Amino acid sequence: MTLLQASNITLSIDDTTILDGIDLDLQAGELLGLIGPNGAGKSTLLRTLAGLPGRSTGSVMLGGEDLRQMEARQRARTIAYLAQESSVHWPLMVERLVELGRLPHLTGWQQPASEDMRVIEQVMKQTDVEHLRQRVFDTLSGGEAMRVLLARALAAEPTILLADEPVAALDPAHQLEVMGLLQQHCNAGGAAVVVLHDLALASHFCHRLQLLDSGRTVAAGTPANVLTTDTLDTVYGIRGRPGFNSTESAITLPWELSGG
Amino acid sequence: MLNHTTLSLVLQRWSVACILLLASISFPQTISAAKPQRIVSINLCTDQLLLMLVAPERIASISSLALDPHSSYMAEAASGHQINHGKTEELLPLKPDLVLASGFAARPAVKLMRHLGYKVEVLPMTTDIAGIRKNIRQLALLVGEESRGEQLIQQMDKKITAVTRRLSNSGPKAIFYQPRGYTSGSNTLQDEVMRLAGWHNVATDIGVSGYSSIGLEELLMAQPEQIFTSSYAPGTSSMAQRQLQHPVIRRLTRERPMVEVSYRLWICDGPMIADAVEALASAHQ
Amino acid sequence: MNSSRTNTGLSQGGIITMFTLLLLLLFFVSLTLGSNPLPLLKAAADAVSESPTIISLILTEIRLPRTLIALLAGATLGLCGAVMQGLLRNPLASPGLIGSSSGAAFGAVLVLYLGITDVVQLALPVGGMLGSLAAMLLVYMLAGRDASIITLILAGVAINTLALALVSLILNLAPSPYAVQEIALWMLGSVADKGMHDFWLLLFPTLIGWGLLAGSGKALDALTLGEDTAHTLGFNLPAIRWRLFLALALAVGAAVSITGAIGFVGLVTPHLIRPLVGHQPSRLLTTSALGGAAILLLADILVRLLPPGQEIKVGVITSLVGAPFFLYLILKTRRVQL
Repeated sequence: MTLLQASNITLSIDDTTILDGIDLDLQAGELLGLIGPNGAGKSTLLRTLAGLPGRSTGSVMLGGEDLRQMEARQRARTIAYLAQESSVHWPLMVERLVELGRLPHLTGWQQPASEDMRVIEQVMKQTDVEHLRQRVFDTLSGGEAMRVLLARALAAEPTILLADEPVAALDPAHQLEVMGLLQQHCNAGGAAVVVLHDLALASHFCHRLQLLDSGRTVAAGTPANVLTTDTLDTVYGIRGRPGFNSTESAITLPWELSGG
Repeated sequence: MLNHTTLSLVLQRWSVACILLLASISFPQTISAAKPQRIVSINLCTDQLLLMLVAPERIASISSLALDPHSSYMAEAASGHQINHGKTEELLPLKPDLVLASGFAARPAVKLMRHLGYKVEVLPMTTDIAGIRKNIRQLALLVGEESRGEQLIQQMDKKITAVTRRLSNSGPKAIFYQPRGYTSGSNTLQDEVMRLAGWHNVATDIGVSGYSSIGLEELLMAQPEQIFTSSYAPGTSSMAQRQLQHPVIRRLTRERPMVEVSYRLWICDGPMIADAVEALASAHQ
Repeated sequence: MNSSRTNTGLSQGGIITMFTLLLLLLFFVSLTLGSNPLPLLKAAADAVSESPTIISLILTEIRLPRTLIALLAGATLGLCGAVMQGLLRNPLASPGLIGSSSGAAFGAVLVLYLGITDVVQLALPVGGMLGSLAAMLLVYMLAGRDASIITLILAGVAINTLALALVSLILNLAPSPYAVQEIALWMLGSVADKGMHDFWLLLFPTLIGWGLLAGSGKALDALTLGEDTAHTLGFNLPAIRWRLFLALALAVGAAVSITGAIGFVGLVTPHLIRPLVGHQPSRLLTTSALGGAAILLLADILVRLLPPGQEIKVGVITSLVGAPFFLYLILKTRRVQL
């Protein structure tokens, strides 16, 4: 089932083309990796998918409805967005921070009810941050902080998770942990689009990859089909060596700069 | 420190030298002992007395305030005269043979004019009617119009006596209240005028001496039956003037409306103070 | 164990109760203190009797409006400081620092000294509101949307200086001879010698402003996570920003047009309250309003304890306490940024 379908997403700012007619679709249960070199347009595309205000054209359909016409709170209950630089401006306690994820479900003066508390407890358990509940966010390590932010995003009970480089600043163990949580979300019937730079992680966890370069889709499909010697050379300018991903498909992993 | 003092001394000498040079172009021909014929007044208070005492052709210049009908009792008589703003450079070309100033006067001009050899007389400010008589006599003597001076004093005294003869001295409680809560206590012209007009100034009861600001609470506690005010620049707006609209003042003036006494009657001490006594006395009705 | 949601000391209800009790106490102290101590019960009894006495008039016409105005203006400053800091995610944002107060003073001064308020009383708070809104929008445009702490403060300094210059220009040019001496009144602020007519003039715009601000808690909470995330949590930020700017201008404009620009209450109060409520912007609103009211009323009580004759403006007290706190905040902010 197609949850999210974007067609012909285009964005030009002052004669510079940022996105050039990109199509993207996301199926239920699918973990889609957005990869590509710096400046390829991955984050901009993700922002468009999240419904953030911008000047991009094209259509984004969410379950048959135009994302831009959707009521904001309804959209917020369906799509959760993890921004690239997730700063928290006040030293909130973890528990309170996760609670903010419930905002799309609360109207007016409504305070979190027992159902909301149940969801909060559940996502904190799922992301293993229960023991951090009384800690102030600023005092957490990188891995802990990302798990808390993920818990915040999951607390909205969204179908679709959009995450912009969620593992960029983490050590390998925490990277695997966070990717595992995203995978879990997809296995439970949700779906996620993740911007990644680590091709090994991308091929290992994502069902499908979409490779962007200069605002265009260069390749899309299974990791084995996308991560080829050819694409690595033309898009990233690197030579790879053969490897295998979780499904034992042959992929190419970065090894050295090409041309040298 | 030393350098600074030296520098300012040098500058001072220079400026004096420059002005002397300017003065030499139009130096007064004679400083005669006879009646002065080119009298310059640089202060509203001496302006008014001068206009009352001497013929217009002997007045070379009066201050700009003399023309303002809110401030000047003699505004009408003042029109047509050359005006000044108390600046030395304006005064020199007038070649005055007598310069008059009052307690408020622009000090630097007085000093400089004296330094340049002009005859400058400064009348003291006064807070009672005896002082007004003294000032009138002093100025009359300076301009050589002694009999006119005595005439003014007599007219003033006659007006005041006409009022006081009708009244007892232990009159009802009153207070003089101006924007920003300024009131006149003991040793003020307003206090004496209130007494002469048959009012008891309650500001003296609460210990106000001279001019001072009192709060609304103190005003209420003093329980005046009559409030006098003398708003400077009527028709303008400020927080200070807004305060006179306070409900407490409205309530205090419900039975006896606040009486407005024109500012020009007592901004300066002069024979027009008799009009202020009359105005305050007529508030008894 | 899981319901230990109040580990930060007191529950919000507890804090609100505490502040309400404190305010009640200060309220009665404020009514009692003045040029003469007032027998409160007797004065109150006289006030409701047929013919009011001197002491009842002092109570109802002088001390009551002064106290109520201090409460309203203090609450506005505390609340608006909390909203501004939340909205701009800037710990130094406050009515005094981002031009809102001085702009309001300019607007109020303009209508008052031109004599417009003599014709329409309501022109005073309206002038304050328009001035406040204009100054805030200017600062916001100068600093840009995601301004750094320092950029916003610099823009605020520029607009404050401009507004101050315009205020003194108007006061100098005003036809009233009293105008020029009233600059301290506008720049420091005072609640002395106010009447119930001032209170009524202040009340309605203030209540509308508060009403518009009150519902902003959730949006401010969401903004803790940044503008993008707040948007994806379902908040229409441009609409919220406009609503809050209008509401801030309304409340600050009304307060400043009556009391002048009282400094630092709006800056300091949210910082004092924040640790008590776990730093959450939505929990800061009511508590900051109560805290601001308490701080301003306390400062005004202190003013009245000083020897009489020299009427010290209440803004002198708040600035004397607030300015060092401001310096401390700058040092703290600098440390965090390094």
